[in-house]
Amino acid sequence: MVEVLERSLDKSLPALIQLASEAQAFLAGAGVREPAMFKVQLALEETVRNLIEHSGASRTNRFQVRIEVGAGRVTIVLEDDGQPFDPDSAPPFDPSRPLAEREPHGMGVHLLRHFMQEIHYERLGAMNRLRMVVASP
Amino acid sequence: MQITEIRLDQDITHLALSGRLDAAGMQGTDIRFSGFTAARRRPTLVDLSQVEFIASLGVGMLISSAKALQRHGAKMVLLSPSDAVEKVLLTLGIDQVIPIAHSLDEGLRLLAS
Repeated sequence: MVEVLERSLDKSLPALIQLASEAQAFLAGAGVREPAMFKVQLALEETVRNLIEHSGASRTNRFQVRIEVGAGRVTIVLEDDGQPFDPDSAPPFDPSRPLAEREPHGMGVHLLRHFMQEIHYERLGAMNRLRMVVASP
Repeated sequence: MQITEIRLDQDITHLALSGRLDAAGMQGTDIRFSGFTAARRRPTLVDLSQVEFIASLGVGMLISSAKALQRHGAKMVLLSPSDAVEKVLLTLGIDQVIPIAHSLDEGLRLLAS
């Protein structure tokens, strides 16, 4: 059985906070356990915060998220009409840099690459579509 | 995110964080954390054992304070993160720039080294 949470939200911090809370309750109710729960929350935090901070002006200033639990996986699909952003285009993160050369940002995509089983980005007309998969045995 | 003061004196800043180190959990408490750490300029031990979730925003807070401390010749050590939190820290190579201890004795030893 597939369980689904769908939301259409403003690109805003209060919306991210609302989504994080609703997603946690939905995932728990759908039987998602650690470490998948942690990974899905990480995916939502990093991608939605990136949308809020970097996607630029858009017609709607909104995003749509769909979280699907089933068949041993959690699939997250995020859509918005902001500036194109393919996570594959982000420069590689260098975890060996000394502290003095570290910045407090620019780490989110590296976390996604490490913790997601799959990441797939498409530009569909004026829309970005990011699909991420977390294994949830 | 909640900040608990364990020991604040001339020798050390010892804090415990709890809750979520993400957008929902932080909401301005990073400024308070900076006030306890970077502004005091003391060797700093940060207990993470009660942190249930960390995202890059929380890691960035730790980096900012550790950098500020380093500029003033003081060190930060992280103490007893959960397995999930430690995986995030290791993935970003944080252990290479902010030591991670798994006991209070080890943490105090790393701070003094």
